[in-house]
Amino acid sequence: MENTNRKSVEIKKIRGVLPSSEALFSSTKSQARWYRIQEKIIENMLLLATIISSTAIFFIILFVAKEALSSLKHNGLAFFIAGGWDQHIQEAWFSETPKWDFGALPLILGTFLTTGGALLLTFVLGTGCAIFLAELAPDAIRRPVEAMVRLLAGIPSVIFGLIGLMVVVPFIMDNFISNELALKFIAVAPLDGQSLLAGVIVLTFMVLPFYVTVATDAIRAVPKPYKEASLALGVTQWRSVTKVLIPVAIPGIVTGMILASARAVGEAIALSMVSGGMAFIPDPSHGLVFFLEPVRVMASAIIDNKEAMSVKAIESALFGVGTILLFISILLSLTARLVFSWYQKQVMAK
Amino acid sequence: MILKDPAKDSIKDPFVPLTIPGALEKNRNGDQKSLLGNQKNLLKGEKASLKNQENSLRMEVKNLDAWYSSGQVLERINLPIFENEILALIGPSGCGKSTFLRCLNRLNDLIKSFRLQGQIKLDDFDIYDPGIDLAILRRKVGMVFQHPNPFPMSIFDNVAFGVREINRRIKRTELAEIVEESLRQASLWDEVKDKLNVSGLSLSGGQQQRLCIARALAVRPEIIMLDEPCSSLDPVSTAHIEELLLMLRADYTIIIVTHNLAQARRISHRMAFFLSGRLIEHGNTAEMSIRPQCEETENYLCGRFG
Repeated sequence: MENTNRKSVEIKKIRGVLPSSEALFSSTKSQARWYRIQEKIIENMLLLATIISSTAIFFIILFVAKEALSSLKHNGLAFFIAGGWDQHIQEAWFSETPKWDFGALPLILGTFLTTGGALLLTFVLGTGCAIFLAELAPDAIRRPVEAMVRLLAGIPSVIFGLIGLMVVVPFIMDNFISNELALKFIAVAPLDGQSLLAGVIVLTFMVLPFYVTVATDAIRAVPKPYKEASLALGVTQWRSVTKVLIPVAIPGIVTGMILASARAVGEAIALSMVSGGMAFIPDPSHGLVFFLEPVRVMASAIIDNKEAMSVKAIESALFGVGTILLFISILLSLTARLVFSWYQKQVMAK
Repeated sequence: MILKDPAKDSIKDPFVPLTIPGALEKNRNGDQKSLLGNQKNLLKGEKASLKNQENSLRMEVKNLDAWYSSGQVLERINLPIFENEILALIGPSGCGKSTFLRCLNRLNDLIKSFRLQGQIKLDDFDIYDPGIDLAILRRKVGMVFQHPNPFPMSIFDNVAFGVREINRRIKRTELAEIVEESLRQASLWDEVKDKLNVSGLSLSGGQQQRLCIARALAVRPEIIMLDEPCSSLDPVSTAHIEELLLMLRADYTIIIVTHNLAQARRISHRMAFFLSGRLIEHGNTAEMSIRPQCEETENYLCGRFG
């Protein structure tokens, strides 16, 4: 009894703050209008914030493309399929009259080769790592390993470049390149360890943590009942992982790959440090030496040649390279969305 | 445990075709041979079970204690499980029924903090023996879960999955037959025969649960455990599944966890009553309903708690 009394007192105390129902009609017209205006102002400010953040991408594209336009217009398709980047930079820099000819093919190929190689290695290494972390590792191992992988993601790329330069490049130089080999190719390209291979290795470790983190989460997010159902059918742990968990986790795995490639495509500093200082197209006909030849990627080119930006033609050409980079990254993020929704349709709604 | 009688074995093939009235008419006449051959293949190296001896002991649980990180969940459980019976595990939520069930196919091994003491024997073999092949154990002791959990694959692949894993080089026609037979057994065939390539997730809850039963049946287990299979289903689907279990009883040993006392009375031969981790009482369903031995059982059966 006492208890009920106290409760009703408490409720009254709370209710006491509220005005009586007559108050519903007490505010004057001008007050009501003022409230409406207030709300409108807040609404519009929020809208403005949304517009600014969502349209920034258009301004970036517009700006970069506008700067690139004169070079792209002059070179046309040749900008994408002609070689001789380094030479063109030199000519444009030293010539008295403005020279607009540029061919960015070595840079484009360099980006695709390093990114492709790194993605391949990342997929092999990272998928294994993700399965181990999500499914097999006991907590005592999983926690520290996961923390280490996440830490790897936070390391500045210039550190990767340094380590690449001090460890990976000398390793390649000492183990794969003999003096005779270097002499034999001296007319083609300098073989000094700064190479496609070094770029791929360094890049792999840079993008690996992104992929592993996303893929591990994707595998772990597979509903437990799937795994239990599979095990209960007498399917072994390993087969359950490969046949049930991985297929269900595919959208996450693909998303991880795309994230990794977006990072790899845009990487500039580290690659500029380890993959060689020239815009060379590695020649597959050289056999395995292909991997030891230098490359320069698009993002590195912008950094390496930035001192020459005072020349209008070079500036525009570099912005042209930037435009390509921009469109690749937009394309990657669109693909990620497409893959995801396609997969959802395939599996979930069929 | 019964002794094996070789004469009986040779006469009475352990892999007799399933005797579900009406359901298997087609297979019975036509392609029985290949199916049988295949079943043998599936269950290679297994002990025969004798059909005609009703009360032969199939599994035996002795002095079972189990712990999660939160504490002891099962205490001194002793329970025999007989061939071809429907055993209902009843009791209020959290009394350890599901845990007990998951001990029987060692699915609790997935839980890191889980610990167990005691013995569970299947045909006189300790299933917690470190040398046991878990895959074969789980093939013999199938399981259907509380919430329908079909794989995100087509209906056909859902049923075929386990079979394919056991025999990777199975012929497509054989596989199709097993799938059809299993779906018929689960009385789902007529509803899905025209859309076998549609995702299993597109079915209704009751259909999904029957799909899960078909999936479990497809690998031809000997014991089927169902963990509250009807808890998320409507009465019509529930009736469907109860009917199904009564039919399956001829060929399988069935252990069903249920919250629904009426259901336990309708379909089970024996009941086992769990209360806060202990097995209070077990016995013949009819007898236990009329004359429970323990007060707690009586209180529960009368609906005074739970």
